[in-house]
Amino acid sequence: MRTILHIDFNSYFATVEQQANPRLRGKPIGVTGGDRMERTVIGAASVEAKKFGVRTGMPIWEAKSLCPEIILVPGDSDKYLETTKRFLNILKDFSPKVEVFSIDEVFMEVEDCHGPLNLAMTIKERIREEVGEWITCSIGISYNKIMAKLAGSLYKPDGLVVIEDEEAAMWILDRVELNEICGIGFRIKKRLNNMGIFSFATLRKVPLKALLASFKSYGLILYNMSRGIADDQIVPFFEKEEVKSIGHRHTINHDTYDTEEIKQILLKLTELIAKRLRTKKLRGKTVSFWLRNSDFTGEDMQLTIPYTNDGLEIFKASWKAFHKIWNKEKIRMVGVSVSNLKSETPENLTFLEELKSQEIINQTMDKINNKFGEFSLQRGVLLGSSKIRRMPNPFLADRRFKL
Amino acid sequence: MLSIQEPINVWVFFKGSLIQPWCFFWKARQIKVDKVNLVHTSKDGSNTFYHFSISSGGNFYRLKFDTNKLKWFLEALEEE
Repeated sequence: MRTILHIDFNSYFATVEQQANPRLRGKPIGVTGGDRMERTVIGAASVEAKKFGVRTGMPIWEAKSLCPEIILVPGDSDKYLETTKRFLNILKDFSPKVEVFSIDEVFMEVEDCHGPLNLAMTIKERIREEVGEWITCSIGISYNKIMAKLAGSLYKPDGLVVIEDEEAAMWILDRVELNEICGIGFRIKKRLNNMGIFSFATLRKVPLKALLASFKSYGLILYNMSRGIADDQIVPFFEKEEVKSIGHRHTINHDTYDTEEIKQILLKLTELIAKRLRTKKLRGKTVSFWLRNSDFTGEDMQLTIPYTNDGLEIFKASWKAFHKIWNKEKIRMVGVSVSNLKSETPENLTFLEELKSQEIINQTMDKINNKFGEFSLQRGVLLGSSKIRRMPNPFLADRRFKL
Repeated sequence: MLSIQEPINVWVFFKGSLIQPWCFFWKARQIKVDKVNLVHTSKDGSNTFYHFSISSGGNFYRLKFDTNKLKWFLEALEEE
């Protein structure tokens, strides 16, 4: 019989910072986006800050009003990615079936495990010894992923909870909120509430037919979920699906309607996207552009262009979209992503001389920037542009770990 | 925490396949490393840097080793 462990680090970015700097331990800290302290949000709050009500995604001013003594620490993605890698290295000693769910969360499947509790204790011990004594994780053990994740969320920090079978699962499910289960978000909970369903006990009484009528195929998932049943497979980190889109967004240091400034930022973002596409040997044809105004309202637009991995082509499409949707308000944030991706194959290769030379220029620029650092060689129009710092997607969408 | 970027001299020792700073010299002081709390790497182009977050007498320092130039820097500190 298979056993699934869900391992979730507690207040991950914050505890890694506290591990690095013991002077931060036991204090309320908030990790912010990169080296920016203004116009950013709390990326992660320490256990101590959470006691004051500080939460991830909260604006800095709000965090400071709740906890005036909060210490803000600039986020350092290299530090967190390296810690995750070290932790995955430990897990691969126990099972090859390790799924990276996000930067601080993994599922691990072990076969015929007679002592999952001992295994969990060993993992905790090795994390303490090899990653750091301040870094703790909560482990949930169960017979499928959903129940393991629920078990892991029941006791934090440094918890260890086992949900042994479906009987135990139903006992627990009857005592938690609908949205405490991974797979029931705000919208589904609201729809269930509108049907008069406020608990898993009630959900179990709803006939499958009624759920299918309301939620289509997801009705079956909900039906099974309320009984602690799920047919979920572990997707090992080395078999992770290829990305579906590549994008970047940037919150500007000040609200602006300076089109030259926006043009520079946009070109920089599209160059970053194009380089990542080229690194992954991908091309995309759907360009999505979005902007947020100073009052947090926003617009977005999608355009289809011929398959490309060239920053200028992506820029041209986003610039067109920008002019179509911008209502001359001051802008706070812009973002671009490219989707509808396909692999670069010989059939994509061009025989047109002018396109060929552009490809050679891009390849040469990539070589130089790979050696000397991002934007060491760049378009003249970008000279003097503001620095854009890359932060990892917490879900590590485009990252495969090489251990 | 104060961020700086000062070249420093570091005495290190090798333990197995790992390199560990033993002490470093900064502002005419010899600062002994009590504990290495965390080691991580970063890249700038093809150049790799090792960052050692360390404790010494209740103070915090972060040392950076540039693998290309084989030079050490003190990049951050927080003292009593």
